[in-house]
Amino acid sequence: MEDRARLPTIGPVIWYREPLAAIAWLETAFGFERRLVVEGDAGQVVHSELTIGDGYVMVVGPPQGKAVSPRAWEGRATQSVHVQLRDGLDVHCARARAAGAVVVREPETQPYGDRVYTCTDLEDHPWSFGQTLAVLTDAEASQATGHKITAGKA
Amino acid sequence: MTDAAGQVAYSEMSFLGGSVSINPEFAAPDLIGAARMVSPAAIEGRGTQFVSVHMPDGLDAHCDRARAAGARITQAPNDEFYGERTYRAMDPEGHVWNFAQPAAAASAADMEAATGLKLSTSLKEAGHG
Repeated sequence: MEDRARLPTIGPVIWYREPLAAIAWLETAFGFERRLVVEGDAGQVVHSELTIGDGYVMVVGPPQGKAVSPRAWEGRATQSVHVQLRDGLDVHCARARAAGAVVVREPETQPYGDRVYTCTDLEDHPWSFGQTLAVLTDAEASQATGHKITAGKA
Repeated sequence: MTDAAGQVAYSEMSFLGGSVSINPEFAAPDLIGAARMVSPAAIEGRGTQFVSVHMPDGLDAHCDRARAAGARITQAPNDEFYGERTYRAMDPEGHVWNFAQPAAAASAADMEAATGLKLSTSLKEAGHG
């Protein structure tokens, strides 16, 4: 992703109390790469773009206005980021754990065909990582999960 | 995907090739440990993340459409120093969304001069788009 014109349509903006520490940690733990960091004089990050695969997140902080780190509300979070990996899910989990991620849900193959693990980061933001092992039809996924599945035109 | 009670268990929506998943609040220690997923409406409007959406064009019309649907426009469309035209809006539960489209290109040096901020980048030439 060398060209800003090819940024993905959607990207999460994630608030951290210590954004520079968070950026370094996300590189070590999850394998993100920093493509852009915009810093103020006091260590605040007003904008950043960290890439992984064909996706990206923006780490900013310290929180302003109504924005908060999950640390402020006993781990409550209003969004979580899901990262779909091409391969190497178990190795990714081991790397994250070694860096201090709290693995909540160990890597496990799900009835809908993906292998998934979840964890929280150094400020308690929740993350999930997945890797597709088998591609199921909606009918097969519905039967496997017990949920009604409605597909749109998109 | 809905459960037996007709409640959304999981969903995916797409926009220009990007996707978001819209889900109910939940607390499940076996899935997310001590974390709890909540709506901003549950914690006095606070949010731990925003969503940023980039579109190639049509930002002002998109803003009009969002306003007509009841979105609270917190920042009207404006050309920013970093080479994008943006607006920000809150949805009915207080989630903040940022929308952007390319405007006049700005170089890294231009942006530093305009803001006094330090800009470090792995790009050979920052600021296109």
